Amino acid sequence: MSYVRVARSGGWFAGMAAVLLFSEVLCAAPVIPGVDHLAANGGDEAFLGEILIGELACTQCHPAAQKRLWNKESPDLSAVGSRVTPQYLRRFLASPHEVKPGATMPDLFHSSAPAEREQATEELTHFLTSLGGPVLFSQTGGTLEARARGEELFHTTGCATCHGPQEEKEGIRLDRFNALGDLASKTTVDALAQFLLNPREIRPSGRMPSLWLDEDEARAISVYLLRKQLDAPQSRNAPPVSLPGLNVDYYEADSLQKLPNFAALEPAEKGTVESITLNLPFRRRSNHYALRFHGQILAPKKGEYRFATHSDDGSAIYINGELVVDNDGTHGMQRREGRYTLEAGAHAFELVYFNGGGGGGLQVFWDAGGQSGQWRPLPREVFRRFGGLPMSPLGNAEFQVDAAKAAAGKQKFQTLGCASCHRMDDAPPVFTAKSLNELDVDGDDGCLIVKVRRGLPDYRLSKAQKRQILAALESRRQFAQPRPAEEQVQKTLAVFNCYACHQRGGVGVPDAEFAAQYFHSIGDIDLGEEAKVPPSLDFVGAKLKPAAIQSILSSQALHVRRIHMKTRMPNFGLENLSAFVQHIGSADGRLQSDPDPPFLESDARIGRDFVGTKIGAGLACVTCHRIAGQNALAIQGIDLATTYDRIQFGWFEQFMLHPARFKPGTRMPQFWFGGQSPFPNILEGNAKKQIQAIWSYLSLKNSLPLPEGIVPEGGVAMEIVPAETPIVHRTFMQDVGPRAILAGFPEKLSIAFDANVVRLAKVWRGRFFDHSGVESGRTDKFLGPLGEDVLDLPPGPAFAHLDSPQTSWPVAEKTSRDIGGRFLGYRLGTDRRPTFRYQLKGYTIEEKAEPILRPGGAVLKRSFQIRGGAEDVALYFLAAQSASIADQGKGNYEVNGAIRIQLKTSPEAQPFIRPDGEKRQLLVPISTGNGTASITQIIAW
Amino acid sequence: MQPLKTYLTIVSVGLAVAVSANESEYYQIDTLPADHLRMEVGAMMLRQDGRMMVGTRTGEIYIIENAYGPPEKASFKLWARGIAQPLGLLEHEGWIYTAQRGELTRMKDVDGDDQCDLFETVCDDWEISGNYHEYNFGPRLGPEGFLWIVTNKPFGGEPYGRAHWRGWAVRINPKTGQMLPVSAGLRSPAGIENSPWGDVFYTDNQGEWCNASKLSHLEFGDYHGHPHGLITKNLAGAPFNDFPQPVSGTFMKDMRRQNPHFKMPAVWFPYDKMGKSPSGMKWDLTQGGFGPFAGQLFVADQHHASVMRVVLEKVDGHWQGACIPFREGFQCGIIRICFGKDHSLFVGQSNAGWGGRGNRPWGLQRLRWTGKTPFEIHSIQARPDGFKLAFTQPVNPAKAGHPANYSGENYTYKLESRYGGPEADKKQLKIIAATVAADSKSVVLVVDTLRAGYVHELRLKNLTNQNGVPLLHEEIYYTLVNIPKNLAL
Repeated sequence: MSYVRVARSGGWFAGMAAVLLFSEVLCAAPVIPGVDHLAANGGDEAFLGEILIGELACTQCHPAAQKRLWNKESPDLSAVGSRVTPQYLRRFLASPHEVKPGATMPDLFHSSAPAEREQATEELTHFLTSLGGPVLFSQTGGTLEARARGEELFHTTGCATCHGPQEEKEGIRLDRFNALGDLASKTTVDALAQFLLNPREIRPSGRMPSLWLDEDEARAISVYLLRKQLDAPQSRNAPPVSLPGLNVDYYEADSLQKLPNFAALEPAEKGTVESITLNLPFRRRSNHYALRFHGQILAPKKGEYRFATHSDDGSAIYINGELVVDNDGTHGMQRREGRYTLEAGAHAFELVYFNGGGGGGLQVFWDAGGQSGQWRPLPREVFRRFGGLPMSPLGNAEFQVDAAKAAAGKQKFQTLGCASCHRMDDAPPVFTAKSLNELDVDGDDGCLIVKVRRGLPDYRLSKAQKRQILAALESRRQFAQPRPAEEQVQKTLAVFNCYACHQRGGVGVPDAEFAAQYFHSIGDIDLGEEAKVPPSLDFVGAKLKPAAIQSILSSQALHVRRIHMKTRMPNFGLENLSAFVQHIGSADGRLQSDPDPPFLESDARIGRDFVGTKIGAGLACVTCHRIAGQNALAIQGIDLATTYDRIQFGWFEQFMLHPARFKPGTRMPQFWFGGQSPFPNILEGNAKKQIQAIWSYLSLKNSLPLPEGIVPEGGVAMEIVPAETPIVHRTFMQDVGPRAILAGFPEKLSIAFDANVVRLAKVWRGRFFDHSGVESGRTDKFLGPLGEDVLDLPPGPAFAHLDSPQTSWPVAEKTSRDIGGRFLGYRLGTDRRPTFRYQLKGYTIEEKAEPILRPGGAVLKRSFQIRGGAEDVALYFLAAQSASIADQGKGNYEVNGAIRIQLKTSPEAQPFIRPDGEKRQLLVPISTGNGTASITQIIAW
Repeated sequence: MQPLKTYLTIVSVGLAVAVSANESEYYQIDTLPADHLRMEVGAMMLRQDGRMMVGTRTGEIYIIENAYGPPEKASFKLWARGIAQPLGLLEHEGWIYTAQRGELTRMKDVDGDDQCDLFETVCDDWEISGNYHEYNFGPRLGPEGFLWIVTNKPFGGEPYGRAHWRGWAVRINPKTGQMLPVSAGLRSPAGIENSPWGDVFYTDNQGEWCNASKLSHLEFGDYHGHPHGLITKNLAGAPFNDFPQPVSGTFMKDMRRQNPHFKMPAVWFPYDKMGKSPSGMKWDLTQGGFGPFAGQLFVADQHHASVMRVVLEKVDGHWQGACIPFREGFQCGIIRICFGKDHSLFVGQSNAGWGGRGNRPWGLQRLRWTGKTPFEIHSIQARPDGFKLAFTQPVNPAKAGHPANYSGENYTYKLESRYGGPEADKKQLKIIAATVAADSKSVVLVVDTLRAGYVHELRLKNLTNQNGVPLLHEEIYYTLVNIPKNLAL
């Protein structure tokens, strides 16, 4: 085969067009990438030829003793008309290697006269189209979203490892991949998606495996692969497909008090519903979430309609982009209505909803005016969602199967040899050829000569391929003998192109540039290349238990790598892999001579210590390994509780002793470095015994008692207890941010100060804080207070300059910093209580926030000393913000009916209550006329 | 030809004698009692009053009492707590400085009761997104009285959005708090140290855009290869004009053609041969109190729980040099090292978030020179046609003068988006001649295959001192960025 570096200028299709121009010379040879991998590493020619004989299905015409020859089963054509268009069949039959470069299907009309070729392909097309055809066009359309998702899936799940990237990329050769040909004229989204879900139904050989796609994924990849249909004018100019129901986006957001700005948020999940409901399968939270239903509403006739929502917490309806029902805010089940006049027909519809905390609920009603004047739940029949643009095969024309042509085609299918490979019960082959043993390898006729004669198939074999097949034929006396185990394994890896992802024995290391671009981990898991590139298969037969190998080849149950790898282990069909399953064990042998160590309960206890973080006995495996479904402390590596089901003891022992011998570049430390135990006092410091102890523990599988260091989700791992004196602690905190400064007091009152926005953010009673969220391993969980009675102070800065008393209080966005001034630090008093200092517009502010004891529990006292000032600055203190603030006289205020605030200020700084948007605010003007001002605020709740 | 075989051979359980057995004859490890304290050391310094001070990753700062006596007598006095991941300590003009996650802070014990009362924010101009990996290391006192800090890039989610000045070296004026950026492209710079001659160096950890761990010189306007922090490069104060994102797959030695700001490392630490995760470092200023390596740099490793040696020289204006194994067998991965006033090396450890060798999750140990001089490669110098190796003791000239006793390879690294990369473009070294000096304390090697921009890995076999004692460590890895044109005087 001759390789060509394709000029990368106009995208993949332009590249393919360039190939097509020269295809006669350059790109006609069948592409069997696994054989190339072996050949590149000096594989034996007769061995490679033997694989080619199987992959080209030579023995379908040339019968042979089969032990060595694995005959690739050809696609099942019994319903080919239902998925492949006539226009594609016609072109493909006439010139298979031009239409699909690298195809293994031979050209049967290479030396026919043009008229003869045209007649034969026409008749065959009618016959094949009569088998279930012609193609039904897809009922659903394609969206740009599906196309983008399909592009991502195609290039990450594994399709691209065999079919090549379908995008412009520097430095990646395309000629080594199985080209897809002109799919856009060949088939439909529905048919292709159906094929991708279960390829072996049509291609039983398993060379095209399934990637465990779900229906949405299969459809997305199909939309992507057929994207030319989406770009075609016939699609762009057609009305969009509309489907019943609505789209719904699900968002997770903390501390919601009103409907969020949805445009600024990324949905956590997306889905569709038939009617409005909160029961969504993908909704993980019962609080702190928001939903956006969107699509169209069908107005049965022109008129004024009334709409209403009844919700806990807020909701709103927008029609044609206009707010119709405003039911926003934090509240119990509350009803709000609105009116809107609609023309008959479809209108853009959007319903948004959030649940901050507590109970939740959402009902939507309409009064379809005029009819009965009655409120009814919005019926599901009125919802429509965008189903995409219609997609149909390119070059499509009306096609009627002509019975006479079909009958003639059927006869040709049998006599020309098609039926020899594509077996059909009612069209048995008529074509015959010499048996493999009778073939004359030195002769001047047949499929391997330079100019194949008329009537024989032309495979467009490369010189190398012909040489390999001839070498295999020279040694054909041995075909009756099976190959040794290792060679059967290699043959499997070549035939199924496992080498595209895996290496074994130095063969099949993926190209570094390809790997860098197309092998990815899910999220940024810090496991290095191990999380991205599928593992080496060296020793895999000694590593995995036979049952685990079968499981990994046929199901996803024991396949741990897919937890963090985007590339999926395909399903080739266990029935196609019997040689591998049978021989991989003997090919690799065992790494142990003794039977597995006996289970000892005492060992399991020691093993538990090793796996955990116990001082003086722990290797802390749980730093980087999940265990029994619990998160690891740092890197979320493979769950150790799966070890026993997957791994053979001998490999386990050797891997523990020499991790890098099995996985070069692994992050796994060599704990028994130089064979010496880090714990010479446990089990006599004997490495073997210590590893056996870990094995005993892991053999308990998911029922193992959790090791030290692992605290189940929701537990408290590193509690700080301010028992005697106050404790100041800087950390990340939920709703406060990454620069939170907490202070916990022995009086069981705690505060959280945000040094980014510069404000006191939270106060609570009871227990203080669990700092494991940031400080165990490498987590960055933003945990909330451990205690109860949590009071959130107003969200903006505590102090601000206002241009006028009507100016809105500044708002702190998530990333905004320093809007409350510049943080200067804190000072601990002799009582170890902190005083915070900050600077704002020429003022220096000191704030001491501390508990004072009252019957019923501590309350909060804030004392402010404000110095400095500037002529043109009007500084205010925001003492409270709420929907309701009542002035009870003498500096006492009641906020929201539940919080009591007492303010002491100088006489010239009189607090006042003002509206700000929908909120009310209690403000104190700052005046430092005599050099300093002081404010005291007591908050009881 | 036979079909391909699996090349690996079956391995057997080998209980080889650990290398550290001999090392302990010359350098002995003492363990301070810290199991009970969650002593995850992230910062360490020798105070001007002679007492050792350590900071933990969970935010405590301790003074070590009885640090220099029998190890079991040592105890820890809590000086401050609740600091957000202090990863460096520096005493300067009466204050103790530390870089927290969100700011550079200075601290003071105002009333003299050995408990800190005053915490002042000096500078908070860098940003954090709330990702765990946004560590900050330092400060170190650099030229002209600036405080130098290096910042980690995040790894994974960024809860408060992409933050500026991540993956940068910055310097801060302690008087004004003003931050001045120095250089970009850092990945995970777990160590920063000012050299005795004033230049500041840092260590970086192998990972994306960092095919091998390295020691690099920090200079204004340099770019060290990681693209993460480049979003910041056009902000006010950044030292660059615009330049393109690096292209994955370029040899680092050729990077300057793409980007004249690109800085080659001073020393590469080949993966697994010389640790996996270099961290804290210290120059030996004990003038012989710590043994025969005065003036050399000691670099710790968090994975191998080891300490390595580094010797540097300036060739064509570029600091470069070699790393040499020194001591392993510590109880846990090492984050910080610091000389005490008794000239022992305090070794602070933590494996939080990182697997490594050893049998403890944290701790503090002390490495003492026993007074016995090991037979070691003392130092190395590049020459136009090879290397000059110096030894701690006179060599047996017959053995040291035999070229066949030297072997090695040279190889280099690419700048790639992948997570760590292989030794690339590797070739065998041809040792043409080995000439022993008249005093038998050094050997000049003539190597005909020197390549600029390559690590030169040399292995010495069969060498002994004049008493027949073999070399304690037989490998040395010289990062030959520039080949000297003339012989150094």
